[in-house]
Amino acid sequence: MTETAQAAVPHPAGRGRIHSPSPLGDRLFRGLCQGAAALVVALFVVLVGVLVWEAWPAMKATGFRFLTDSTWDPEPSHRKFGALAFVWGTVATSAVAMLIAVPLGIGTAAYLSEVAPRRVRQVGSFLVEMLATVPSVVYGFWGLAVLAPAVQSAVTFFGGPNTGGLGILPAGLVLAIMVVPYVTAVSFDVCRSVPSAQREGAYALGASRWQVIWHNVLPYARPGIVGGCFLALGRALGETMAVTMLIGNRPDIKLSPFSMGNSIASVIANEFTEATYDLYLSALVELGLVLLLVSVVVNSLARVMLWRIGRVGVFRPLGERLRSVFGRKKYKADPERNGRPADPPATGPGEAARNFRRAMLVDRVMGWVLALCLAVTVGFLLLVLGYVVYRGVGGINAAFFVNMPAPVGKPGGGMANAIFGSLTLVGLATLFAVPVGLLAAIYLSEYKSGRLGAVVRFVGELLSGVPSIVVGIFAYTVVVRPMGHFSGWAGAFALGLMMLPIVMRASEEALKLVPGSLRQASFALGANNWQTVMRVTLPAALPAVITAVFLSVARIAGETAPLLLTASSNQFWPSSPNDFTPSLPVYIFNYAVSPYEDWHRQAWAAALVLVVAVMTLNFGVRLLAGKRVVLAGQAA
Amino acid sequence: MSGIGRTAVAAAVLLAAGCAGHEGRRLNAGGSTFVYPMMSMWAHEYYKAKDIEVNYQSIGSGGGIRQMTAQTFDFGCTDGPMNAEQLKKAASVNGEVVHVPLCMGAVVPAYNLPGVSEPLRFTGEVLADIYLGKVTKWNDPALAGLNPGISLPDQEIVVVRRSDGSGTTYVWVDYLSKVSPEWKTRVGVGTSVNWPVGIGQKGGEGVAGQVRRSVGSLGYIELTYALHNDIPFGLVRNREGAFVRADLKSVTAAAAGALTAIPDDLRYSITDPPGRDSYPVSGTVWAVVYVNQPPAKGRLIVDFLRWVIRDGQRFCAEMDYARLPEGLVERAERKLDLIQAGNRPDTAGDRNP
Amino acid sequence: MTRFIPQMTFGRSGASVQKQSPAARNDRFVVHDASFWYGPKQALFDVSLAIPERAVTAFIGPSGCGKSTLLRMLNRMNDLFDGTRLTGRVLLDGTDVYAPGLDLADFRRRVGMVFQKSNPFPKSVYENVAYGPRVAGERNRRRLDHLVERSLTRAALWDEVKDRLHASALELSGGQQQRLCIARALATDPDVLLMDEPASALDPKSTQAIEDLVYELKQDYTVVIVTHNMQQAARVSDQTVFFFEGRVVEAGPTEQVFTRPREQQTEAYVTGRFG
Repeated sequence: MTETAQAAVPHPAGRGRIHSPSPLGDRLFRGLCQGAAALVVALFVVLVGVLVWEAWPAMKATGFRFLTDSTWDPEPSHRKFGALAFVWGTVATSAVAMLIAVPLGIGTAAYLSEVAPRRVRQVGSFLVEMLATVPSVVYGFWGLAVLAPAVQSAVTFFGGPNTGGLGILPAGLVLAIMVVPYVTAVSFDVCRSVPSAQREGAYALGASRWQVIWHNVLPYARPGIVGGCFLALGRALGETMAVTMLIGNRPDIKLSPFSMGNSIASVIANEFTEATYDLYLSALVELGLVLLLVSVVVNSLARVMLWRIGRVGVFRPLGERLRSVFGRKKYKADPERNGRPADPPATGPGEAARNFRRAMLVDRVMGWVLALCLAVTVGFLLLVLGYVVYRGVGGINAAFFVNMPAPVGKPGGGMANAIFGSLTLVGLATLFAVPVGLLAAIYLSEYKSGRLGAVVRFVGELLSGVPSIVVGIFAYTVVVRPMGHFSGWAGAFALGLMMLPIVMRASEEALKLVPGSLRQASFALGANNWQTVMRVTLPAALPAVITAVFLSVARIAGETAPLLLTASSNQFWPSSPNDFTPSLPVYIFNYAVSPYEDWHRQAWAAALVLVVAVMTLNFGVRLLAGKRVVLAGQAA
Repeated sequence: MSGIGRTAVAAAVLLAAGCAGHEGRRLNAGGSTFVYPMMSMWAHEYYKAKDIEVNYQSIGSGGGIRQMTAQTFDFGCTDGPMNAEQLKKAASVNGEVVHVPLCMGAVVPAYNLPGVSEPLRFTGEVLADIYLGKVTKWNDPALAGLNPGISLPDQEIVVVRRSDGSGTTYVWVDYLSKVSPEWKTRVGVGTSVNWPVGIGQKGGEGVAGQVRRSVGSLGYIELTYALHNDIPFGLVRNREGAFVRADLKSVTAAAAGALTAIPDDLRYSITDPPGRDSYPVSGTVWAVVYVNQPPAKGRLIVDFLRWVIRDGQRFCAEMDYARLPEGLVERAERKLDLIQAGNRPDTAGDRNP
Repeated sequence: MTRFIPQMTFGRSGASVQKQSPAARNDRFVVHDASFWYGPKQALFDVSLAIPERAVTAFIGPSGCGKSTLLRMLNRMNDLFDGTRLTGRVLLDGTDVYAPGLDLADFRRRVGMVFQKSNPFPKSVYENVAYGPRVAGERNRRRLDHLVERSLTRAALWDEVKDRLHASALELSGGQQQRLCIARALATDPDVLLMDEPASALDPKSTQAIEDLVYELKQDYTVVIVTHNMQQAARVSDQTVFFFEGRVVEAGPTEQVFTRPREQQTEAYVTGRFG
């Protein structure tokens, strides 16, 4: 990355002929990118294959009833498996989450990108990314401790039932908080990369700030924003811990704001480890397949909806939108007048002026609304982070970092091995996911990827919605079982697989936003594709790519479920990545569900350490690498 | 990017170069979440005494059985004995499996009723009716009749139960189905069942937290959670008609009372046992292990498990786990003898410190 | 943005413009003693000048001389940058453009702008032109249609695009895109049209079309054009202002500036000895 500063400047030709770029290198690079893209698809195909293989007994036994029945009774003598209620719970919570997170996230991003002073922008975008680093189990505990009681008092106030503040609504709310950073971070990056000429053009025509945001910036950034929303949707669909702690875990299908439910991902996570017979296990794996199916359907529906809106234009008044949907006649030149202007129609008496005053009012109101979005997002962040600090700071001491875990009641227990193990797992996962994801993204954005590209993109979205426990099952089947034992390799593979779609999707968006003229300039200087990508396109896209990598690191750093089935854990030092490897999230989880105050304290301390570590990493790398690449990006 | 990359490479190199060669002095095991704190204590003490690492992973009993069966764990721990299907599967992989009881615990009905200071009295039937959704109010005659002199509020019972599959659930519903025929036919016994009513919460800590937060709630949790969270819990009437408070003695008593009825393979249930002092909702944690073991590994396993059921028992009380009754320890030890610890001549001599 | 209001004194060059400008014309823009900073870097030094109505005023000078900065100051486009600072006054028809409480949107509609690089919105041709009226609150379909047609006609683009009004503006050629941007600017009925090197990225034929258009437009509009191209300035403008290193070196009728410059530097520049 060190050469990127010298970017596309060719050597002066004075010393004779310049080496012409090797076509072999270029072809190799293309092959590599294509290979990475194909690998993504292949991994997904194998994953589905493994799931189908494991789910086959249940599919054979239950047939189509699995989808239409809402009775889930795994009692060994009953053996009834119907997933309908879980499908409902999954869709309902994700819908609630997206309804909140999408406007909130886009509003926050728009404020940060278009309205906020520079200092606020820098701090704000950093804070939002921090929100993504909080492990999901922390959201769950925060939801239980802070949100659920608040919800219950509101419900009681309106005469609702005593549900302990649990249900689909609070679960959706916590999910929304969890996915807001995805929407925000990606939207922010793409808004920032909208060319300033677009804004200037609009401002010069007298558009208000809100009009520029709504009519110019957001439409221009729309593809990227949609990408961010799909990442968020994927996470919402597949989220386990926070949902299971707040949803009430009842297989109900009710359309009441107080109703409880259960989600597919949480049932899998809840029951997978305790399934006592093969058919039961198989049915749980089939649930994983159903979740995949649900995310295919939801993704496709969302896509169709967006396509519909996109065709009609986001900003035109609704009536007009409907008219154009039903084939309104469009303005056409009148051949009679032969190009001379038509007679001016009568001017409306102050109508335009009234509309204009209203637009100005809207501008002012929306300015506040956008600021409010940021305030709400950051407010949630402070609430959650504050809670982690409040619970965790008491457990932080030197022993925590240098000592090994100790049993309850033994003073001086620490998590040195788990900190080390987490670093190893996340590091190895990054080493796997970033090259593959980035190369695949390059293939998607820099080469004519055609049908394979569309498939890779779609698969990426599905992969991001695969619940972590299913990834765990998959990694267990293809890595742990053949090796015969748990290992850090398996854990890193599972985590990497979860990072992959995020890195790929967000990197693609980042690369696509690099202006074409930059590439053309490079090609015009005789650079080939590989040189253009490495020296021009990638450096320009790097800030956003780094954001993507951090979002994905943040996403996996707090993951528990897939690690239990792959890296397992270790109370001692792992001897190599080939050994059982401990990690902070697994310890957080194990300690947090124990009855002991001592362990709870350590669990929260570990959560705090995890959050701070990811944040420091994020901040540090931005500081070290950031200055230069951000400049390169801005120059673009 | 390169920053993380470098860190990771450094970590990997460190890992690869770091301490190797645990193979001969390490056991990998896992399963029951319930026994995890106890096991971490045992592992700690055993490491101090023998310099052998016992790495125990809290992945749930079902997972423990599965990983033991697949031989990714050296032994598994479970709150419920393996069923016939699981045994058959294990037999097809590596032959016979033995059950070795390690320690015991109780499941208690914990509640949140601010006005009530005396412990409530429950019977199995009433508890079953509450979990069937038939008794819905705290002042239901069935409950009031058991608790004369305590004024119970006219308030809905918020039923809380585990959402995750668990041995605790198994013990609880096992008990309910022994005392309530309706429960037995409608709901049945399993690590997860189709609950007629109730809010599901994940883990013992989840249920305990929900009960603590939610006024009017009732949930079943392991005794340790009730004690460490200061949650009041009720007495349960045993088979002899005595209302018994769960404590370490009454649980051990339950096992002692059931000793004669315990089958030869030690796959037993001690819910609703005979004996006046027996607490009726008690459970056991077993280690499950293949009889057929590679020589060195088998020796490690046998040594550790023997230490647990002998010397290790003295750590139980401080962790609020009930120890095994003496008679059961002897029977468990005979199971350990079955494990082929490498046909080493000194296996027998090594028996007891 | 900090600023102070200096005393109403005419600067050297401003006075000279006034003296030299045709008597019948009023001044649309008057700039008094304007200095401008991008962060710590000063881009303009005590600039004063006046821009007469219904005429073309050309800003010429080498790169970085401040001519674009001054142009962008006239419609307050520099507000969009962080950390800029201005002193002095800019008056449009006697009204202080930088007065607090000015209706910025309304003001910018009176002062249209065309940029160096054409920047059509990724919308249809029609929507591009209708953009200005729409954001100003015009909803009436017929009036919008009329405005679009009139503006495109004035920008000499109507005949080329009348059959594809609803196709994407990005499908037009470079020259067409720039004329579309002019039409877009005209659609708000501005009094002044600011053009920042509007033809610098275009081929000779398109440049010719733009120049013809500028010549046409001065019948109804006050045009300010920034250009690198001295022939272009000589061809299209009535007034020429020569900038160098953030200062106005000379201003006057185009013919005089090009044929009888009063300053050495101007002569050197217009004769192509530097720049």
